Amino acid sequence: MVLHEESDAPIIEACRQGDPHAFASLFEAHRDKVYSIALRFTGDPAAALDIAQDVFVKLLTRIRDYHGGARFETWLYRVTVNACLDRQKRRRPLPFIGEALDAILPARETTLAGLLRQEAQDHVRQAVAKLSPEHRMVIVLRYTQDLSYEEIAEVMACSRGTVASRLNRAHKILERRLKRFRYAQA
Amino acid sequence: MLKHELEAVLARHLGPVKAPPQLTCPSGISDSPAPNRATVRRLRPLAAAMAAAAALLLLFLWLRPPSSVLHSADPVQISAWLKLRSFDVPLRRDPPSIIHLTSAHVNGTTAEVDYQIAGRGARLTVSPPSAAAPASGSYRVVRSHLVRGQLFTLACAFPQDARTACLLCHMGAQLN
Repeated sequence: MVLHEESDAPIIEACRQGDPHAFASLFEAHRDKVYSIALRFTGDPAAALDIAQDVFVKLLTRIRDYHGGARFETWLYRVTVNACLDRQKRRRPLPFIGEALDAILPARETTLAGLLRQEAQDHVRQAVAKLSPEHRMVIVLRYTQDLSYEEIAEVMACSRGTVASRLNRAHKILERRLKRFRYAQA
Repeated sequence: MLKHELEAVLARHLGPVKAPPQLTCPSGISDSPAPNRATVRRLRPLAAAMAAAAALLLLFLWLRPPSSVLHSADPVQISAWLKLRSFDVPLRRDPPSIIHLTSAHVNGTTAEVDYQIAGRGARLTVSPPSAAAPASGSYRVVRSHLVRGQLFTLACAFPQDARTACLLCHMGAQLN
C-alpha cells in the first residue's frame, strides 16, 4: 500500500481550517477506498453507499479532531471499519451477497467461461460474507486495500498477533468452504 | 487448496471497486474530474436529440400565430393581457357600472380596447406616437393624448359619450 501522507498533509491542514475545496479533494482521493471496504464487507451496494456517505460526513465534522497522531489513511480506515462494524451490530444478518452482486455487476456472462468465472466470483463472495464480522474485516482490509498485518492491527486497534490469528482462521474457513467448489470446478 | 492459491483467489475477487456517482461530497463542492471521452460519446446523441427538440419547440413558438383577440369584461385581465404584448394600458380596476368592457385586440403596433357606455360602442386605441390617428370605422375620435410614449385615442359611436368614455382609465375628478 502506498500512503500519500506527505502530499495529503497540506490538504488535511486546509480541511481542518474549514476549506471546502480541500475537503472535496480529500473526498475524491479516498472515496473509492472507503466505498470498496464498505462494499466488500457488507456485500450490499446500497448499504455500502450509506456507510461511505456516513464516513465522509463524520470526516467533515471530525477532521479537526485529527491531529496527525496516526497516519491519515489509518485514521480514515478506522472510521470506516467502525462504521461497518456498527452497522453490522445494528442490523440483522446481511442480505445474501449473491443477490446484492446482481445489482453491481455490469452484466451476466453468457459464454461458458464467463459463467464459470461468474460462479467462482459468487462462491468466493458468499464464503466471505458468511465469516464473522472480525474475520471478514481482516480479509477485506488485507485483500481489498492490500494492508500489511501491522497496518490492519493499527486500523482495528489490536495486536499484530491478533490480526495474524484472525487471518489464519479466516483462511482456514475459506479454504474449507471453497474446496468443494474447487473440486466441482475440476 | 494451497495458501497462495487461496490468496490469489481472494485478491482477484475482493479487489477495490470504483465508488458510484451517488456518493457525494458532504462539503457540497464537487471536485469530480470531467466526464471521460466514453461518457461524452455516449451522451452526445442524447444532447443532439435534446437540442433538436428545443429548436423545434422554438420554431413552433415562433411560427405559431399569436393570440390577437381577448374577449373579456375584466379590466385587470385585459390590462395584463396587453402588458404581455408590450402595451401599457392602465385600465381602472373598478370602472363605473355604466362602462362595460367587451374585448381587446392587438394588431402589430396597435392595440384596441372595445367597450360599451350604456350599451353604446366605444373604443380606446393605443398606438405609437408617430402613427396617424387610427381609423375607427363608425366611431368618431373624441380625444387623443400622448402618455409615456404611447398615443391613446378614444373614439365613441355617439359624441355625448365623449366625457364618460374617459372613465375607462381616469377617475371622474381627472376629467375637469
